[in-house]
Amino acid sequence: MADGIISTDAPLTADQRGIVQAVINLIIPVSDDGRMPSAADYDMIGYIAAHSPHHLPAIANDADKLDRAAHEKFEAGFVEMTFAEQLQLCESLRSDSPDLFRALATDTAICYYQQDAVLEALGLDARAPFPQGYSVKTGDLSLLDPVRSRGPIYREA
Amino acid sequence: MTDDVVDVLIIGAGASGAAVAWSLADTRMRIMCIEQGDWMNPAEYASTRRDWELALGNEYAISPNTRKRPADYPINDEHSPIAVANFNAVGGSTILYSAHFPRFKPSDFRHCTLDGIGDDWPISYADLDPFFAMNDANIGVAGLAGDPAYPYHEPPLKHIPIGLMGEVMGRGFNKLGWHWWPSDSAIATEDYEGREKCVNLGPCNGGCAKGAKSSADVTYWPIAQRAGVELMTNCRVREILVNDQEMATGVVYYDADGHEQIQRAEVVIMACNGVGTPRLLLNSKSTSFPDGLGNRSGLVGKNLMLHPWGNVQGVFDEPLESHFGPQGCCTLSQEFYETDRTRGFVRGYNMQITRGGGPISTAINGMSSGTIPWGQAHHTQFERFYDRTVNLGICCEDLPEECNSVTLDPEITDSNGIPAPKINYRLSDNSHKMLQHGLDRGVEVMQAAGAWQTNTMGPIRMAGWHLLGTARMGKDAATSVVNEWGRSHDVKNLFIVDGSVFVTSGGVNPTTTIQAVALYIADKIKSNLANLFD
Repeated sequence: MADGIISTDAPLTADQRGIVQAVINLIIPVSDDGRMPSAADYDMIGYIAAHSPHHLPAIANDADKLDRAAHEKFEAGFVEMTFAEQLQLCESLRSDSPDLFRALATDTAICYYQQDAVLEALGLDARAPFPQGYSVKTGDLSLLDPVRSRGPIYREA
Repeated sequence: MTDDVVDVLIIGAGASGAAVAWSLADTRMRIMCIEQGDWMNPAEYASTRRDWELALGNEYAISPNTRKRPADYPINDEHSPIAVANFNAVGGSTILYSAHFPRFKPSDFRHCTLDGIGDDWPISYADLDPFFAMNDANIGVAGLAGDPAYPYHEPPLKHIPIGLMGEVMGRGFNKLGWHWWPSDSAIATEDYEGREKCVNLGPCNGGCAKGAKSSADVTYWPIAQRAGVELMTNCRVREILVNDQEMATGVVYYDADGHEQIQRAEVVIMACNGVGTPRLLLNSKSTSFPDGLGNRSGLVGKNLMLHPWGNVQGVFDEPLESHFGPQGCCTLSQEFYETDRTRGFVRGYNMQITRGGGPISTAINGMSSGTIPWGQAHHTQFERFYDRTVNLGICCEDLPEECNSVTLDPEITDSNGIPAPKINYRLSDNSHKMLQHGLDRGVEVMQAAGAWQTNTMGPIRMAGWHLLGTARMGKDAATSVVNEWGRSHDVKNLFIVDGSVFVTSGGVNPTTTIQAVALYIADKIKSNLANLFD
């Protein structure tokens, strides 16, 4: 498949993929302490293609728009800019166009917060709730003493 | 089979249809239930998936207009600030309900007498009390006896775990001197009647994969079927038939293959909820009933009550393990439930403490609201919200008003070509004042509990879970649709047992009261069998 051709099995061009990958790393980068991984460590584009393919045309358009803005303001392609420059440019564009990469950000969060390493870094088991479930504290019912001592509050009828 | 006549035909296998089927089964009559949905497969419920939070907005969305399962029918709710929620399957909307299970109170049945507004019910809390207890025992309800907001009752199962967040909120309520209590919950907190106990999966509102939530498909239906009740699924009723003597003779329905069929019956019982029941009655036009079956009062579809809903979210400094535990069940407060006219409105509301969001919804909501940014700050901000949020729902009592209604849409139909329901609804001035009062008090208690941030929302559009009042109960045929035991004033072998018959809405989630009313009506049918049609 030629890089410049968009098809159902390659919905983004190579350039667009590079830009989107960089944006994903902006949305959720590695944490300062390294405990939380970058969203770009995972195949977000593959996830979107599998679960929200209807988002891809808008994502491709936004990637093109972002790259044009990068050339206009920084005289460089978006992927060649520093992280700080990329973030600054994205924030600037998003302040004027809040919908820019909105679907990408949502899909990224959905995929990211299902990953084993992410869930484990949050102190969660890397699994669905069923079948094990979770333990929840019964609670200190002595806190109800003042409620009890007040007596009935409903109206007889 | 036009020559096959059943003794009792129940339309709808949800909360009320299941309860009435169970109750009538001991008569040994031939009982059949027709349900437009199918049995659900618990192995597919939201909690079996890592992206369970996503499933709640898609396959298990509360709006049929979003969900669009084959069993769903469209509802035109464009002319309502509150969209209708339901679920169509064996078990009905109990498949998705949160199982928060507070009862109506004595005052809910005596509006006119106590507050000088609206009408009293023709039955009282005392009439329903044994049926509340019967329902609690039948399905397994968890709770803590002694709630001073209610006449004394003893739930059969140990209360739901309130968790760290329940304690934090309890201290907040105590600081203000307000009522709070672990809420009655339709959840098996102990092994019960062949069902294993709850293991705190979390998203009860995406179906309970464990089977611990007391939805009608795992409680009433297995017993009713063993007792001989026939249940036909994937069959949608188009209209109820009547003869020249103005008696119901059966129904016309579409089977799973879309073929038109007729089922004859001696008695027809409607259990289709506060939107489905008036829709079917209005679709059942005949020479005797040109305005819809049983509608000589003109009140079928009128007085729709939906419970205007608000939400207050509190964000706390410390981790609260707040997204663990049954999503909609923790504690409640009924401090502002009864009428106090100094507040500027009549009647009141329930405060329902619910659990916080999981990782995905915390991130999505924070990113869409701008509180969780892109970049490195994503992680620090995420941690400020994740596991630290508590929600407080405001369930406002809705007063009956004839202008709030269910009619038939002139254009939209379901997959069988049956006209869809159309909702015309507005919030009253009383509701607006009540909701604002509730939101303000919600912020107050969140702050008292230590929240560093509060967010309020209301009225919430996607919150029309409670569908009530559209075929109201009463002794006067001119001002009500059914009598004090659920029988149509106009058609003497037609009964309604769902939330349509409610005269008032109370200020709480209505399912326990709906099921108590259904059991009460079933009991009246049984005790009047000899002269049921007199």
